[in-house]
Amino acid sequence: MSLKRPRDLSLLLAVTSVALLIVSAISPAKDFFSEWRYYQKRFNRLIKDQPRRIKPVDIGIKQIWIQDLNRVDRCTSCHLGVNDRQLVDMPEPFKPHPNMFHDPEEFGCTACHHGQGIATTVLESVGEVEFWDDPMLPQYFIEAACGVCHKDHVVEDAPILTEGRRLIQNYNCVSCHNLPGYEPVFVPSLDGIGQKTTREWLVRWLRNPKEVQPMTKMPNFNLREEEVEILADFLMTFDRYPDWMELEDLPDELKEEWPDDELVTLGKTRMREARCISCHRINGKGGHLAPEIGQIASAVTPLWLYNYIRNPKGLHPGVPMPQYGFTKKDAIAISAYILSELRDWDIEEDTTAAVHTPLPDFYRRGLKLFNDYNCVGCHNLSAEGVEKNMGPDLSFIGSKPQIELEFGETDIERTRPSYVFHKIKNPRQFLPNARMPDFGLPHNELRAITTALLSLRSEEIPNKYIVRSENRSKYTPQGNFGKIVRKYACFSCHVIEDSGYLLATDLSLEGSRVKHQWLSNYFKIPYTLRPILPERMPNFFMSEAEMALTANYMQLVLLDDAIDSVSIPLNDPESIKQGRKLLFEVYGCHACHQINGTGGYVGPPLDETARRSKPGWVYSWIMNPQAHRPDTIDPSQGLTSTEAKQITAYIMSLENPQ
Amino acid sequence: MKGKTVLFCIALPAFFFGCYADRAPQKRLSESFEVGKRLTYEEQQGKHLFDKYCSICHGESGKGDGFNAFNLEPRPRDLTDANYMKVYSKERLAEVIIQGGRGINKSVYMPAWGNTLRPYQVDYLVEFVRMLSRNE
Repeated sequence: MSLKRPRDLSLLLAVTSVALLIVSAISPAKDFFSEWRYYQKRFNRLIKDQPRRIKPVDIGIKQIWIQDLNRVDRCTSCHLGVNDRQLVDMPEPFKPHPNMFHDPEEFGCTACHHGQGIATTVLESVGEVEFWDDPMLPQYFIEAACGVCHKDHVVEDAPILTEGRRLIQNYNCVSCHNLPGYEPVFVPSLDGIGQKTTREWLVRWLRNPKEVQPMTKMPNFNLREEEVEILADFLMTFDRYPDWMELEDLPDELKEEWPDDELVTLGKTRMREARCISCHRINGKGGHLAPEIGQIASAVTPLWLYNYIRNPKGLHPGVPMPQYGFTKKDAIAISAYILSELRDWDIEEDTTAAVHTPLPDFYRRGLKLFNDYNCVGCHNLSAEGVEKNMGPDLSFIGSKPQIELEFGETDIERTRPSYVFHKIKNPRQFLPNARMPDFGLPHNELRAITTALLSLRSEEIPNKYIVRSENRSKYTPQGNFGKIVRKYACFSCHVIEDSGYLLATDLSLEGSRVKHQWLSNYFKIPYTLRPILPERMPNFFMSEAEMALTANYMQLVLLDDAIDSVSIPLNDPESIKQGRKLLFEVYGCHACHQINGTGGYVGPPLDETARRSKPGWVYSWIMNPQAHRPDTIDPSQGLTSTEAKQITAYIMSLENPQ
Repeated sequence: MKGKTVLFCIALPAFFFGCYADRAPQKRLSESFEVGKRLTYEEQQGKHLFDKYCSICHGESGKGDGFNAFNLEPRPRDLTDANYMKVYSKERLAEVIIQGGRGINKSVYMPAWGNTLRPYQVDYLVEFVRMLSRNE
């Protein structure tokens, strides 16, 4: 090609000039045809159809600047109806925000939604773009944003985040990952495992724990058959209980293959009285707080079983299981019942007496496997050469740069939320040498855990925005009462002050709640006050002295004078009559409570209340149930003080025929 | 020659357009997380509250067949009944939840939740309850 003639040159010049003109016009044109300008004009057109007069918006970029949080958010340039609840019928992006927990003028938008606050196009602001370091948080995991500032495990109005934090604690994720704010949970030590269980059981367990116990928390490590055998051989070498465990010899009654029938029947009765299935599952029935024991006799040896029933905390210090006050005979009977009934009947028949010879270097290879999979993260094992081998630090997983996330060959979307979600769902899909085991979690748990993990971000937030309840020293009962609380593991289900787990009653004010007489008898034959609660208070077979001490302590210490000093017109017939009318005709309390054989089954029966509760407590509770137990579903009815006193008078006048 | 100039004239704008258009494709990635019925944020929050406070009588699916329903006469309302529910506006539903049965001259078995739930929680519940009869 040759451009020699001046005419050609001048044509080229002309074309180039025109092109240059067009190019230099692009910038103002882009501004003029920008998306936000389009939306603002559209908004101004649409508000004319609204029944109410709404001020048109001045055309121009809108911006919120929050200096403390280092945020400049221009989202309101297009989201023009965000603050106006009247605009519900407008199309997006003009719809009002659902209930707002934080004023956008104070927090901005990206504090909760993340993303590029200064962006002014749809794609750059709300598009979920692959490979970006910080795109908007998908609404599916939006509660992760709450968790950035709200550091407590329970965050009101963020149920998914709260559930996720509970699950992270429950599955003991902290045993392999550094996760600030979580504490390790109790997992049995493996010292003496060779005497506790059999090799056959261990092999089955290591192949897939969920096959043996569907509800177990132990994940599946997907070990190869050879690895299973080696690890089982390795663990079976630890067949001596540590010296501090004081074991009793196996009683003669349990040495026979089939124990005495009478003993078995007694054991069955004792087990029912002790309500073991409040926490343990047996053949699909029972609680979920403790391992399933429907086939426990095929898993553990008689010696271990008997000693564990005698003294659980002696074998496993820190185990949440209460130390029952069984007599020696009771313990033998319960062991006998378990050994003869709670077996895996299928496996017994399959067992062939084939002799197993371990590989020559099984110990070295077993130890290596044990270390590689960080078994010691959860299970303690006192052996030389055992070392921790933690997984990645997850302190800041919620802001880990996208580039550092390893997706491997998968076709999973390259975003952080999808990475975290799919990593927990199928842990070894991204890298062939990944070690993380498979927890087999359902979708809702995956979502909750992902939400909680995404809340762990590295950005620095000024202290005034952080919400964390005060780290007070926890209530620890001392002396004899403290011993009883620890022995019977009261805090596994009950709360006193800020210690314990709120499954059953909060005992902080038990002395103001119940009568001494009732409490003293309660420990002998405990029953459940709320009929819908699946977990039942067990009979611990406490000694007389322990029962008296507990009842006395509660009556003397766990009190609130303000509750005790309320005066109720207990013997005034007019008040009782009024109270009856209010209860049945105005507030409909019997919708949920049984009274003389009629009514609902949600709360405790009211005709038993007089025998159990103190009048001041009944009054105080019905005035404001949530003040005493924030998570109760008993509605606060907004009673006046007089009404509450009259209803209390009526409830206290009810006699239970029993 | 003329053809080359024309080509040049076409190529230049095309080049600039190419630069502009070379950007990541827009995808709604989070859609792959959605399973089953799609609930809005308010409906999801409403469902959590409904499960906790209401399902014991109205049933988890809102059909009025909860655990406690069979102890009550009249029975709890079937909230999936679109014919019945359509007469209730958002405001009216909120009123029922806040004042309970006695506030609207219906059964006192339905308690007033106005002192227990906050206004925005009532709004969440209203959204969820309306969803129940819409999908039926």
